Amino acid sequence: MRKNYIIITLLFAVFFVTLKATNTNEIMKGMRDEINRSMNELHLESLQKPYYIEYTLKIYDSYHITSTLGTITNSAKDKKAELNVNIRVGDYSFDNSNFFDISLGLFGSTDEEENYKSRTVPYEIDYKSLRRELWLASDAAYKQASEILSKKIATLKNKTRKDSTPDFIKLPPEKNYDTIPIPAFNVDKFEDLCRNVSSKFNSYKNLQISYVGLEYIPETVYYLNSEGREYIKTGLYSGIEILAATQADDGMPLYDMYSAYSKSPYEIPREDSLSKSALSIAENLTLLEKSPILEESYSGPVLFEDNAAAELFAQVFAPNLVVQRSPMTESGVQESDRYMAFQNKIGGRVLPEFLSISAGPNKGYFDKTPLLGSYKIDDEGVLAQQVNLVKDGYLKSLLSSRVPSKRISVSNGHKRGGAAMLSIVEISSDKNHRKTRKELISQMLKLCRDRDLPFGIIVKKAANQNIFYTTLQRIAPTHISLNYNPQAFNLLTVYKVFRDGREELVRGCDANGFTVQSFKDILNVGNKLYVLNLLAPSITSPYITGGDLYVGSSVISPSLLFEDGEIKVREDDLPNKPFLPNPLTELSK
Amino acid sequence: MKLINRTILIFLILVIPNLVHSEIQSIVLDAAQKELNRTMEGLKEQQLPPYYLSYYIYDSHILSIESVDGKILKNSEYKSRTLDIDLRVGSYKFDNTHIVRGEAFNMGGQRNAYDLPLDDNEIALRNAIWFATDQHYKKAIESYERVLTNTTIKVQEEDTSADFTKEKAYDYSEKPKTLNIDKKLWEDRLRKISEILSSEKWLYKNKTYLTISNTTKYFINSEGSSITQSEMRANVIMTASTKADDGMALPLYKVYFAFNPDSLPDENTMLSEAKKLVKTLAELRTAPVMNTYTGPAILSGEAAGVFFHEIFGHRVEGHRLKDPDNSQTFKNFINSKILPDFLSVSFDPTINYLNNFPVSGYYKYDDEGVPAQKIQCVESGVFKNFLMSRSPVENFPKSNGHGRKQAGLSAVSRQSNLIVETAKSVPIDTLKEMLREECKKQGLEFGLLFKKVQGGFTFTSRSIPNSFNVNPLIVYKIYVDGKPDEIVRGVDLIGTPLTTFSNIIAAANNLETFNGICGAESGSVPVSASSPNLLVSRIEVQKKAKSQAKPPILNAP
Repeated sequence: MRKNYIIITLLFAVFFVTLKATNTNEIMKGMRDEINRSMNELHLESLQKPYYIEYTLKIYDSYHITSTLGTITNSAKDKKAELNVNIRVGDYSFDNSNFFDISLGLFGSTDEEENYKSRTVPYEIDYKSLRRELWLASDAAYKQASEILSKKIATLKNKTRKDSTPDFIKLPPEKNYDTIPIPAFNVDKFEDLCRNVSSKFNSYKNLQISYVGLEYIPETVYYLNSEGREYIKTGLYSGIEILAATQADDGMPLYDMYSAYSKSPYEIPREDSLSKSALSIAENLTLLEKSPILEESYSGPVLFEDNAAAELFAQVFAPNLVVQRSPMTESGVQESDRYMAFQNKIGGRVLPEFLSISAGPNKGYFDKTPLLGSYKIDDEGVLAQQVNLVKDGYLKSLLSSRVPSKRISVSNGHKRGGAAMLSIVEISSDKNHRKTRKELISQMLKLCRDRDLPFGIIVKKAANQNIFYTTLQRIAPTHISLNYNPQAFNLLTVYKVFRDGREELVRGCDANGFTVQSFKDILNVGNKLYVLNLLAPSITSPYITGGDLYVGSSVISPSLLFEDGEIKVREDDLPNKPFLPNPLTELSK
Repeated sequence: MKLINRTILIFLILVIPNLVHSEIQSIVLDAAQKELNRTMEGLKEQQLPPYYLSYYIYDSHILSIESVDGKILKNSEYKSRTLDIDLRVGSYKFDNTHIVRGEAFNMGGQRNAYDLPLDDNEIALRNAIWFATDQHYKKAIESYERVLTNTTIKVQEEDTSADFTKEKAYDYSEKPKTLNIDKKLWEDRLRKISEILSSEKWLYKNKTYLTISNTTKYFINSEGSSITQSEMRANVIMTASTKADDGMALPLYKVYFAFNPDSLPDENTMLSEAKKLVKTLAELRTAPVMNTYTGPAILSGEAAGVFFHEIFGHRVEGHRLKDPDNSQTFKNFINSKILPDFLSVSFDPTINYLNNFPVSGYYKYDDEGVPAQKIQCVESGVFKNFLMSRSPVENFPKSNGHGRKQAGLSAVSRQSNLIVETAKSVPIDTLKEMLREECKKQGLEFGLLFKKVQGGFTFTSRSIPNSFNVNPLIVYKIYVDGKPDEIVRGVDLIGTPLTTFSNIIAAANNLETFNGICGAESGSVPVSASSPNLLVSRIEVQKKAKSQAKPPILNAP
């Protein structure tokens, strides 16, 4: 299932847009001059001066094409520049951060103040206009930082502080650059690609709705802080999503999806490969329509293969591998258990002893597959580092930014999109536990026999959260609202495997109750690795950080055989099928 | 041979666009018509078949350029094609759109826009229309059950009129327009304007926009109407704001509207207006704060237009008479006097220019496929009529072409071009003198002149006071003793409708127009309001909400 995208042959057709050196110099000088002025002069009489200022300017283009049945439904192009100003008042050990105030933090400025988070600024910015924007944004950021610090101090007036973890880690000056020419985007060519791929659904009159969406967002980020750390980096994101939905005869909503994300748009799989994926979705849905439902919920051994294993790992386990710090509020520390399972677990066993996990953001490709989660410099200007997260089953570290936690006091270069985040996370195992597909199925069937189960379950494909929420919900809302259980892990392709090895496609079920604890019960893994590039939901809520909702990441995982798991039958009422047949029926006569 | 070839070429260039347009039009309309026919035919055996179905397709080409500080902030251009569906089950008398009493926000506004392919491909268009119609039909059946139950458990309704009017079928077609502008020229112009608007260190915010929308609207319904309208709208909006030392934000703006970007004023006019705006802001930031005041005032034509839009216009939108929670201010005022004899008020969507000035509430057919009509709401002070959509009310059984909405929402009765006319007028200076006289009579040192307003809002629900609030931007004190007029800041014009109407005592011989976007339950629709300057014997102002934030600590770099 691993996809070896052919990228080499297309590179000759790529044109590049290069950074203008003069403009770059103007931008960095504008930031330097305003940061110096603000560090020296920005303060109100009785309040402290800022001890740290950070400016991030992002200039980006975005291209978005959507298509259905061989036609374009949307083709939009935009260019924007966004400025973020981060000002800290106090000192590294105790400042205005790690404190959440609903009236200030959630909505930013509310009192006709200037915006300083994701502030839209002119994209053709020069020294003069940048200074002006930085001046206004810094003023607002400083006033709010001072207000938050005073609230934080007030909150602690009548309390004895138990947690003395510093608020921020001090770093020496450093300059890092990672710029590449930005590949130009040929809109006509990619519109044609979308048209051609989406036209593969034209002959499937049983499908109710189908969709192909393509995005390309190249950006240049300029960063400077008052410690003397600076960077300029280019970021590329490209992605294509293919989606179709229908209903079985009993009304059960069915959908299937495919996605491929990469850095450059010229690394997107070729048209013939994408067309095959579209046809595979169409065929799979056609089979699913006619397949039986899982009669009753299943409890027993489950084999998650390829995409399903990587999705399960990405959605259930991996988000816990990131440092999270519960912010203080006026009513005390706001504890949340969302992905917090490993915050105090370093040194403890979290997986079977034959499994290890590492994160390596510097890797650009796995085999020949481009990795979306790769980068060299994180959003705080810290060089991305290889991190051994789990070694022989035991938790060694977490992915961190400059915000320390009780157990992690250094940044390993993982701040992205607002807080510490996943990069490229890879599961590896010792040789003895790597098995062929046949061996894994055979082991599962033996367990089934021991438990007197007539069949085992193989999950081949699971729903992608980003596509689920951002696309499926929009184009086919009726297919979601009725069968989506946020506690469940949504499955797309599930097979029963009988004792004689026969496989039967079933529908109408989701994995239920899989938690980080379940991963301790992995018996063996596959002998091939599957690469899942995904837009992973931000782990620390973007409503707190003001950052991105989704961040490009990669997960590399083998198939996973669980000793025990629950596959639950969907029990929702089923919506009626459309009253009239798809007009494709009439048109294809 | 060369000559012949050239002749053919020229001929083709001239003719092909028309052929293409007519072909495109027919593909979109044909696809919609086929699905409409198939739906009406295919669902007629259902227990609850649709009795009415309309498809409204918006083919939009939007161009938007924004500039701040003399630089381009945003430059976007996109095309979209969306479908709105009105599908009704039951009957004209009682259908699924019937008001559900006791539920909030049930007077229209339901979102139902579906994206359609931009390419003119029958297969893809019909697939999208079919899928959307099916979802809509299912919702209609659910709603019908809900309204049936609601009618059973609630008391008899005050207004027992039907849910939908029967209207004639109309056939109308306009050729789609083409949007083609010199973007570079406009970028340069916007840069120059925003440069002026950021030319002083105390000017904190500024933005200048150009927005051009070119929309072809295709409307068909099961009654046999087929209407294609093409509309182009161009706006330039310049905004700048400063802060007074006490933290009060002081915004000013200038709007230019035209039906074609070529008809917008030239660059010099806009640049000189930008300079004027900066000059006024300079005066405003050091202007004294006005205290609470009650007494006589002049509303400039523009301010009076907004004033009438808020306090009168929203109360003559007919569908509100069906809402039991609405105060229904004018319900019992038909043929009664509500304004002085010399004033008349009409809404006329059939005109695109008034006194050579473009008015943005113009359209030929409303958003329910009914021809636009001029409606005389007040004649010589006497209330005569409501603005009607296809939702009839007692004694007003037909639409008068005022069912309006933005794409994706359900139409309700909305305003168009509001025109206040006076049978008796005086020169502007005389009106000012009359103001001074009125002040003397009331023993006041000064009266107020509301020169420019930003907009306003009003409440029409029974559960909260039916007040209005108009937000002035430029207000002058007019002194009785002949002292020069003095600019002041920090007040909103407030009041209640009927009392304020009875206080209008004179009108000037001018006419000013305010073009704007009105927001209500059926979304944003372009409207205009035109009026002469009006003298009101007693108005009330209250202190404006004010930011507590200090101006920036450091000087501009």
